[in-house]
Amino acid sequence: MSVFDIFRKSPFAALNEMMKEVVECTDRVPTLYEAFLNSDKENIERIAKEISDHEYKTDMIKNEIRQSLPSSIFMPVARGDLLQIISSMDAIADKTEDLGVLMTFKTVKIPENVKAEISEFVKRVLIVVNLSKEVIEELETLKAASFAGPETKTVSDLLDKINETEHETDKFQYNLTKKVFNNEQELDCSSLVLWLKIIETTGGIANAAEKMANRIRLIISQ
Amino acid sequence: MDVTVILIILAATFGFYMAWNIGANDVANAMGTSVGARSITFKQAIIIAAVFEFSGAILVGNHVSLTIAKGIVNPYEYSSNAMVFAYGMLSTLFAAALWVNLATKLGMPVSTTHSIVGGVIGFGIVSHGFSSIEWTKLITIVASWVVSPISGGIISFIIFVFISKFILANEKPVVAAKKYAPFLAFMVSIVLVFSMLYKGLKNLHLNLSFSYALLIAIGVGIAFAIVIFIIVSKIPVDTTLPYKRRYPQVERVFAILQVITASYMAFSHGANDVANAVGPLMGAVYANALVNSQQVAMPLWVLSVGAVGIVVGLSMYGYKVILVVGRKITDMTPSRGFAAEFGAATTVLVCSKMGLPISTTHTLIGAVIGVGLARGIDALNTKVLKDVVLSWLLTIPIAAILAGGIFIALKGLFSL
Repeated sequence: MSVFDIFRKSPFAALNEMMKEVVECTDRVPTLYEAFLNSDKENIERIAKEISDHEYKTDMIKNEIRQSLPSSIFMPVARGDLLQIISSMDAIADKTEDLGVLMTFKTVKIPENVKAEISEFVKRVLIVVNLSKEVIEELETLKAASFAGPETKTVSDLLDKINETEHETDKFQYNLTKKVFNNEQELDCSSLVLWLKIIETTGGIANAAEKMANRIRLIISQ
Repeated sequence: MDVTVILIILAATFGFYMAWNIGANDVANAMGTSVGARSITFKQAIIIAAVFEFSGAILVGNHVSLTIAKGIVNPYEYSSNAMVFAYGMLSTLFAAALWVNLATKLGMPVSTTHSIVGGVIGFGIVSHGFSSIEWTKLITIVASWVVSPISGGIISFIIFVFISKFILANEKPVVAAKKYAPFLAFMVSIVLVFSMLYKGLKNLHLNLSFSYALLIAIGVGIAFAIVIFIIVSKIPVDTTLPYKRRYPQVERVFAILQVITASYMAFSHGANDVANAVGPLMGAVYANALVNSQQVAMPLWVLSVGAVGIVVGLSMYGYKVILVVGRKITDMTPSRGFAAEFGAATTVLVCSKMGLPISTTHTLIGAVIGVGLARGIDALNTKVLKDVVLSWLLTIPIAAILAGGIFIALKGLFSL
């Protein structure tokens, strides 16, 4: 019997690794949109495939982490919180993959009054994702500080920013949806449905990122 | 050759072997957290272990050793035939050596301490029935097995909560760490030095009074505090850095402090575990004196067999185990290691002074859990607690049966 029997492999390092893969997915969203707005089929297919590959890697890491989290493990954070973080993180990648797939279905006309607003919307969604990546990166320092002190302030400031930006993306999402609906004369039926789905999925990326970040709030409020 | 000479040679050989085994396998547990936290280099760990295991064994090792030699089985019961007692102690050594090796091969949780205690019980029951066992003492010992991991856990928890609250959660953690470091060093070195001096030097015929020992301990403590103060003052403080870059500086302060707790840990371990080798050796060689008189002091040569055995085991094989254990413990940072080692070493040392044979490994496991409960450790394997309990439940009867069996065989062989 040895002292090291008491230690288990830390899941936190893998969390960072997984988030890196997630960001690999979401970082491709702007170019994906660009290709879609230009009806550049070839590039859409290529980027969607790349996103899907990274999403697969995310899944692999997710499974590995889950496997290393038996109920007998004791951590400074609740096991449930950690599992929830992983599944929300996974949802970010999933939604991004969905977005890529949706755009490969068909090329559609872009309503003129939507064009400008859509790039602002995408920009904000990515801000939410990147901020939540920062939060995940702060976990390492948070651990070093044993989840107390000024570091928790840094993290909760980040979380506030995430909530605020996500709220903005919601407003963009409603606005865009409204505009698409009011463009029915310009859009055929299937294009309309596709646009609605695309907007919803893009918003879903930010939603998942926010959900993940908010779990960290529970961890620092313990 | 005279039977007594054979007995002494056999007992000394097996006693030395047990000590070798402790040095080869168990010292790694005491040093692993320091090496794992990268506070001390591998080489430093070997030097600290050799010096402090040795001095712990020589200076404080007598208390637990005497418990094993005359505390569990009452030697007076054997006044009609001291040789029976001597062979019993020899059987205990054989049984423990056999079981520790066998269980390790089988991958079962085993503790040298529990094997020895089980062995003594076994031969006691076989030779003189249940009445020869000092039940109240035995119950105290068994209780200490449960209490020691808990005590290690509570002390470590408190220390880590203190570190977390006053240093890690401070607006300026590096400044706070540097401020408290001399105080922490003072505290640890006082306990360490005091336990070395008070009653410890009796074995070297240099008995210091309580107040005198305390005075020297305070003096040494202050000296250590000053040394630590000078060393940590060289660590730069930059309050503009992001916290991400400041915590490694905090850990640097604790890495320096952990050199002291690593020594403390090795000292306590030597003080308690040497008894597993030399307790039965003492019982076997001094059987005649033990069965007739209550006042038998621990001879220095017996303690030396154990102390030298530990160091030889460490230098022949133990260093490899330290490296393996140290590499596997990656979640330990110096601040966590400091808290865990402080809790474990204090518990082990107090038990050693009280003559209670306990498992250092179990105490350290308790201490690490204590730090974990204070949100200090990434991931703990709570299944280990099952192994801890299993090692109590398994080792005692098996070692007892083995020792009893070996005793009967020896009895037949030497027609006692």
